[in-house]
Amino acid sequence: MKQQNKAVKLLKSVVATVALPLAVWAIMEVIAVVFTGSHVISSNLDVRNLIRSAGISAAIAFALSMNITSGRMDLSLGSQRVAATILGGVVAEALGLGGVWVLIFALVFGTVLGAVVGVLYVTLRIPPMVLGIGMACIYECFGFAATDGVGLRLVGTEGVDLLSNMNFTIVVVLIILVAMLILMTYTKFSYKFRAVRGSQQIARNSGINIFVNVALCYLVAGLVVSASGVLDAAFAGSMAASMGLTSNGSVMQNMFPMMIGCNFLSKYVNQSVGIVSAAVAVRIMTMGLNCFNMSEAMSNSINMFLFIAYLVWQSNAWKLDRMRADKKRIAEAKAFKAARAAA
Amino acid sequence: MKKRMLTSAVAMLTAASMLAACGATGSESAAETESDTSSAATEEATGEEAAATGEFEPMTIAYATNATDEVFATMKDAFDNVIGPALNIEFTYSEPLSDTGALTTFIENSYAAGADAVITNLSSSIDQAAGVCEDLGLYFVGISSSDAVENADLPHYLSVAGASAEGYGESYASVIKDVIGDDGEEHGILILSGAAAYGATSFIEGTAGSLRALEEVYGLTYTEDIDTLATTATQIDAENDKGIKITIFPGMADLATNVSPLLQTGEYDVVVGTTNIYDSLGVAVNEVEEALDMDIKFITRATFNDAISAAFNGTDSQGSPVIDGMVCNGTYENVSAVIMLRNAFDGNVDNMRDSDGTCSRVPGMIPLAISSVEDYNTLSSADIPYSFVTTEDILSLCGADVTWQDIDEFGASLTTENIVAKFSA
Amino acid sequence: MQSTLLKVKESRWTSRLLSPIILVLLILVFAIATGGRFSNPRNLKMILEQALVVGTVATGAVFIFATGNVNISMGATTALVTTIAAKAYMATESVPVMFLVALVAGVIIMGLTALLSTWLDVRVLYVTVVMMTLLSSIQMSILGSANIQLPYDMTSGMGDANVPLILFIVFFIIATVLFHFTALGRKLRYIGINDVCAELTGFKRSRYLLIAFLVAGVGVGFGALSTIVRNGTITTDTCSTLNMDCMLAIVLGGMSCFGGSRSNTYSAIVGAVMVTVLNNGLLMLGVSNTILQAVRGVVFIILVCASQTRPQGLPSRDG
Repeated sequence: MKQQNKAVKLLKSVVATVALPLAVWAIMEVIAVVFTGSHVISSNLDVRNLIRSAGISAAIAFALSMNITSGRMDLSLGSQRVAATILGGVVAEALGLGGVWVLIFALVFGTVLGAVVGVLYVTLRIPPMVLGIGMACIYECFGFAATDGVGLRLVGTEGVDLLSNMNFTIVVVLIILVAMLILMTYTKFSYKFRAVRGSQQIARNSGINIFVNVALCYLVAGLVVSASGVLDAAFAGSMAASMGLTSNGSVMQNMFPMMIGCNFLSKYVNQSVGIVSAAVAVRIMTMGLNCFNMSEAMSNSINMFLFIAYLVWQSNAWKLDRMRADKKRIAEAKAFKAARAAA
Repeated sequence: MKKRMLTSAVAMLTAASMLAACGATGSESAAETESDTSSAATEEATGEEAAATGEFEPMTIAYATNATDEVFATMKDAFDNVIGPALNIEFTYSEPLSDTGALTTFIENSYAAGADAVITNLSSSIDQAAGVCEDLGLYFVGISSSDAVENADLPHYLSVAGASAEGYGESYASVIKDVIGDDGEEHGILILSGAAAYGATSFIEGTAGSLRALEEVYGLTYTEDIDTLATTATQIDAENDKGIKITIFPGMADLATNVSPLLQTGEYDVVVGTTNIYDSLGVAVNEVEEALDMDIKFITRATFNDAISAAFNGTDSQGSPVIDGMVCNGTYENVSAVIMLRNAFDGNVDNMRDSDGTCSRVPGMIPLAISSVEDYNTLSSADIPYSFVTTEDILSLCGADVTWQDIDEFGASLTTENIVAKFSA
Repeated sequence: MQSTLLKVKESRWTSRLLSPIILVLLILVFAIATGGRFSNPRNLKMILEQALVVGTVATGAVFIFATGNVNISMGATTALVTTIAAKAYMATESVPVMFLVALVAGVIIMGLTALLSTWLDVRVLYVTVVMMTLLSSIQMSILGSANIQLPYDMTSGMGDANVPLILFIVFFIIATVLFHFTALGRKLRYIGINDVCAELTGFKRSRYLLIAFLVAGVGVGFGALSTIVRNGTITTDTCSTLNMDCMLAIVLGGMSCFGGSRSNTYSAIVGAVMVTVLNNGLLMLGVSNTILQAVRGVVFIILVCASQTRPQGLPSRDG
């Protein structure tokens, strides 16, 4: 009996995981075929592109979720991504190491940059958003100064061909996803993380060092976001050294999958799985929109419209539930009244 | 209280160490680039330096740039190490500026810091910048592919330098004819118009020039106006009477992700970029070539660097060159701007401006069109000075009797042919 | 001795005056370090002019920040309003029309943002994340493939007549009166300190949020006009860094990002001037543009640290 329950539960979560991406794909496919005659996914390469871009997007969403879900908005995440990627590339190149070492050094830098923000936060106790602005100012400069403003170029650079290899990217993406899944589900850190998110006071009373946990959150965010940076740079060929606090834009774009994963899908499946599933769904939607050959402004607007529709639904869903409950209650009361009148 | 002091101390310490780290990387990389500078060029300069610095009054030029890419890095290198010492000019540079407000701020701050003249390549804002410079009494040269619209009569507004938009168009036409013109086959052509949709003239002309070249190669006529096609904000097929597949794709952001699905249709075997698309699309194109087992000809706007060299000389999965043709950004505009400012600062203002009392227009060098490995290798060889202008050439263009026409003519003589002839001798 | 120190530290004037004092000190330091070049009147006027756009928009934003909400679409809104007003000028060639259009557009867009949040019950921060992208997409569509270049005679004439300065002063006086000398300001700050409490006292959060956004909309309108005067050319990149500059200015000016009792209208301009003073002064001292931003970040963090009381409790969005 218990065995069966487990199987049903597993099946349920599998369905919940694939339902959203499948639904989005089906809708987009129908619209695309009817209006443009083209398919959302038409080739093997499309599938692999989807895995890659959804993986990058999921990695950023993971990083965002480390702090936003606990109410800390880290505006320096984008600058960590840029700085870690560029510094990783520069150091690897300076040491004459290529390929996978760019990734390794970037991860190291990402961890350090993230940890520094975390440690500064718990020591200085500046509001996270304010600290984020200050750190973004500094970190953007790191990437800029390290390359004289040119940024990191990977395409055509000797020894880094491996990074641009799609299979390598996919393997890395999968490793990140699995690692995050394990880290955020089965480790002590994740138990504490969830406890702290639930109630800081209770978590503290039960002996959790909240400050260490918070600093670790920043560290993990830095680590994951730097991985996304390298993979992104590998496909796009380069990573520009942005200044003027503009680096956070690419991170902000992934708020949508992050929110769907953390606030909606997490009700049905593991949150990490939810984030991945949401990232895939959003990516499929973008691919679908691409079929319509819209201007950048138009597709951005549609994306944002859907985002706000989701936000509205999310914050008002309880009203629907209450309305349903009210209706039921009223019906019951009426039935009761009628029964009493009849009696 | 103590704790607070402690935290403040920690804050300062971390901040200071970060700054130190930041500064260190900055100067290190500066040192690196310095040592990287082609030793030949530096040697050449040092001889001149001693003599030159005596002749010229010291002067400071502030360069406001719209991007700090490799083109800029190469220029900065040449300015700081060769041209600056030769003409006794010190340069300061802005961070990448995107809007006119930031440009105005940079000019004002440079004035405060003691600059004598300003150059900017933020082409949408040159007339406004000229106005600001006039108020502050700074000589000004704007770099743009189109003419001054306003303020041309301001006395400190010397000139608009910069390869003309038509020049870009011609160069694209020439590369396209070279790359696809002679094989007599039909191609599917994808033109990436970059910022043309946002009004950048050199992009518009690059796209329009490419379309005109195709008109000539295939003898076709478009059903729509070429300028409308070039400034499109959405992907559009340039329909024509010969039924050749020509598509224009605008935008700069996320090129790899957006263009890859298009290429996967297999309908395109020529990609033309009005911006440096090798950096952003090289990987994606290669993937599609491998997946579909087809050769895609690649034409990009670029400048000479290691990556482009490797791409020109290397072969892709189909055995043909990774880059088949390129249009090289006109770099003479920067050199000519410096020369004109030097002359104006030395009192030769009138000759640098047009005789009718407006600023001059110095298109100078036409962007180089390169479609063979040999040409590329000759033009990119290590002992060729920045923008193909030697220190002697520069010195010969400075003086009381030099006019802007001389400077312009010299630039116009810098064609691929002439340069190859000059430097292979 | 210690009690006097404590008294000084606890005094509300300390936190209020700290930022202006630091600003004056900075100016003095730069004046000495540059041998007086920094403090010549022309340079100081230039610095003030550079800070006006950020100062004006951020002064309006103070009203929103005071309620404990962060609007990160201030820059995108200003950019769109600038574009609309510039288009209006190009169509009519009338400065009054441009003024009117800028004000109306600013108020309407900000009002819509507020209503989206209060009507639909979505957090202000999230609404503004969406608005940021949405508004800049709209701006992009309006601009199309052509930049708007306004006639230089008009912009320079208005610049010479110190229109941005006048706009700022007018708005600053209105804002200060509203914020510090009327019940509105007190209520906004009250909401910032504790919105539940405020709501229970009878100050409807949604109504006051809307008012705050409308006042900020006026600031955006004025800021857009100053942008037109200063920039002259309107492109898709116009005001691209304005949003972050505003947040930087407000916090540097000594105000909390989450409003409450420590909100002041002068924070915006003090912070904005501080940023331009730093840029200008450091450049004069020969600091390269490359690391200028990092220096700004470091000074920012140090100032924030120095001016806030370190929270003793558990981590929160307030620190």
